[in-house]
Amino acid sequence: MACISPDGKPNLLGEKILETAKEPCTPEEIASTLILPFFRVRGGLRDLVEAGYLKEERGKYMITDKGLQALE
Amino acid sequence: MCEEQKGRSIRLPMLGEKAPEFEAVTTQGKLKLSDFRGSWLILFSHPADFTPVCTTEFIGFAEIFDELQARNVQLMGLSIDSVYSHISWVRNIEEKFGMKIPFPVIADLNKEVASLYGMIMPGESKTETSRCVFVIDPDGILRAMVYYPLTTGRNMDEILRIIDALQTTDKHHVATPANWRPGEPVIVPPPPTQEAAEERLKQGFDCKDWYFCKKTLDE
Repeated sequence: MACISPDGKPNLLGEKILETAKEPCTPEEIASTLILPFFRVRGGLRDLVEAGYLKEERGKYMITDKGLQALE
Repeated sequence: MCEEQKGRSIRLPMLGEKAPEFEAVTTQGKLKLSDFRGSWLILFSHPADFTPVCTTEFIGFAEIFDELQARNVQLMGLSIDSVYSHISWVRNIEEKFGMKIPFPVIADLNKEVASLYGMIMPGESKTETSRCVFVIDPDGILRAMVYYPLTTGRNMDEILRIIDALQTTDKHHVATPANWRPGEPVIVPPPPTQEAAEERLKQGFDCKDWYFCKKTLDE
């Protein structure tokens, strides 16, 4: 998984994406903020959404309660 | 152009067609081909980790990585090895050769992607992928394929030249002659009608005849 550790928690990259997604943002905005290639952001977003740490609405990604708890 | 996979026949990709989608485990996590949309992608295979020619190629690809990035091109390698083998090998390359491998490498243990793209040449090896290069454009169209045998390392200048030629073709609607390099004259596509052929010689191009005209690009 690009952004999820074997224990199911976000890894370092996952945490960075979650921090960025505290405000709704597009994959492009996340890639720009974190200075990452799009493909890594897309793969990471998919992992984080599947694991319930992020949700997507109309092309923007936003952290979930589970995501906020993971950052505590 | 068909490949047998698990009892079913699959058609190998061809130039000008959509590159087949896949999802694969890589050294940078699970990735789909479609994650690369919007960028050019060089998908390349190598026979095996911890082998000398492949090591020189990985160093070569890493050396042109920044030049590829400047051209909006991503790189992704592949071999029929585990992700742990890949991780160990790229760490070894960094330790022994001082070269960090910045691109993901697919661990294609079940040969799924290799079979989908026809990377295994049974006449050479039934268990290793040959040195294949697939150039995929930002719309996911397969634009170039290059195959080298197990014994022959690839030429990174040619990889860059192919990218430059394809991007120049797309931007200026021209073709590029043999051994073309950026900055050199390009080929004006031959006129499609007799009338256009007569006009062509009056258009100020460097023409040997109506079908063979070159021009220098402005940039």
